[in-house]
Amino acid sequence: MMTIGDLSVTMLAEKLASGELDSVSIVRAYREAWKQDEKSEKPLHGYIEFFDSAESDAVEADTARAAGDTRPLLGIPFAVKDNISIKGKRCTCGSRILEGYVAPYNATVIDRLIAAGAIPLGRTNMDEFAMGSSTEYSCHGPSRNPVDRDRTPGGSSGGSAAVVAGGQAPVALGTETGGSVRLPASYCGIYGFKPTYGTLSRSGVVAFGSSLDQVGLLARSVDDLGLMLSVMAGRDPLDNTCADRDFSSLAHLSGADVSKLKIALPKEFMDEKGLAPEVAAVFEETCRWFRDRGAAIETVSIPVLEAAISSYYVIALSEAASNLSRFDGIRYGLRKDPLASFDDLYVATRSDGFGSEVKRRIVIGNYVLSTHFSGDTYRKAMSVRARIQRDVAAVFETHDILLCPTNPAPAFPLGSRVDDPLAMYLTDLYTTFVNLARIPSLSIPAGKTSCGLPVGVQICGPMGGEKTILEVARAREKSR
Amino acid sequence: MKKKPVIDDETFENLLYLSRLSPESTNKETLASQVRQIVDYFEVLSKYAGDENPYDAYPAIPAEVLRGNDVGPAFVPADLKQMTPEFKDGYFRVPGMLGNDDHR
Repeated sequence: MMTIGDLSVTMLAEKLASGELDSVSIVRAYREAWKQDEKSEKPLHGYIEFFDSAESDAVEADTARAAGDTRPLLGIPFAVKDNISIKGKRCTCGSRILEGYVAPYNATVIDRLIAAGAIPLGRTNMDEFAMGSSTEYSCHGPSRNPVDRDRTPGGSSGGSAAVVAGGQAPVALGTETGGSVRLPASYCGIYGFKPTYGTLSRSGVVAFGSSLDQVGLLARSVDDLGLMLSVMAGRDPLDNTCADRDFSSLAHLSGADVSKLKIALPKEFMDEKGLAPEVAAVFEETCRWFRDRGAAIETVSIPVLEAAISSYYVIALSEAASNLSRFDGIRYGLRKDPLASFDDLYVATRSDGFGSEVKRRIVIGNYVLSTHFSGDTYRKAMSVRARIQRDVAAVFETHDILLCPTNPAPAFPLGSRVDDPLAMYLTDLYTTFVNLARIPSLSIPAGKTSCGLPVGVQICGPMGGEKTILEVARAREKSR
Repeated sequence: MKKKPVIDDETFENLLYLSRLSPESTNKETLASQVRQIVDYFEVLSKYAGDENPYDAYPAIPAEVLRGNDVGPAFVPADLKQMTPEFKDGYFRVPGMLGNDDHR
């Protein structure tokens, strides 16, 4: 029998509209699921905070519905990654340095979801400042994978993936800089969508790498992604990188005609030595599904992809070093004051407030930003990014979508990579090129390994190709 | 070929200073060795010439998906006042500075 924790957003919306469920019982069911799980031997620890306000918001939603309100997400709860501002709620980004910080305003994406009737359910765990692939770098401790609780749910939006896959929320917001939505979605067996850079406003989202950052969604169904995007997207005067695009048609998706698709497979990813055989097998099965329905699949070569991870980390860490300079002990959160100079205050606060991974990334960012120390590393990384953008755009002149695995291997055991940063970075092998090229990409649950671990496959499209991606994914979802 | 830059102890100390991080707050040897290992990984970038202009790299983006370059409404003082309750006599109240927990 299906419980509320098994239902998607669209299923909940139908049951709310028909009167079969009310919003208060939905919120209570998620709260109960979270509370019971917290008492278990190995709790998911996806939430850092479950909001007390969710139940009173649900009462208001039920009252509004009784009075004839028909907003598309009325009474639907959603979880929020802890780097997205919700007015009056704490926002720590998984860092001690933001201890006690309360957001003074809503992020635009939160404003739009609330305006559509949705209810913020709680803040979800994340790697500190979204720097990591496992949530193990969170100051709140790691989250666990609902499929195997000794393994990571992925990161950095691992808490969001854990609560959706674990039946503690129907949908969650995450953020991406290099794969932080798609990777945990793949590890936990759900959908994870990174829209085109500029589709969703970043106003009120704490910056990591500003030329790469984008809000993303973790959900149980493709229709949920379309519905959420339809109310969240659109121009925002508070974020000048936000595109003026109308996504209202995504609220009602139809499946794509797969037989007419031209699909590209990047040869460089298929030849990658680190690709686990069981992931390769699931990917091959996915390709076969498309081929059997008449899609034309062609292997393409994009040689510059070999440098994607390096280009990504040079650019992301340079931008992070700059963005995180605002955490100085004066403007936000923690302050450690040795009562000496300004510099001593900055150093004491940052040394105490930042965790090891963030420190590592800031040091590397400052290294590559300095031509004195590193020569032209940054310039080369930017040049490689330009080449990736150009070569990937060229692929979409002759192909509708690009398919590749989301991760080289399934979810790894907690603790197995936390002291090996380079190994952790390489989990992003197949995801970072998407952020560098600013294109949209959706990780779909494509299969499982022999021991039941989920494996994701990415459907990537050209800039602005959200609808194509979602309709292709919907066609596959409906056939399974 | 250009000589590969090296992160020696002095460079590493300088990087910690630039990052406003204290050497005592971290295991310096471990951090330095991890930074060197990661920076070595970036070596693959040296295969590529740094001659692409990142801002010319969008050949296939249809113009209609991009926002027009029009000047539109943005913040006006009234919006800013609405966003903070801490506004009085034409000034915003901001967190206090060193050694003073009061707001100013």
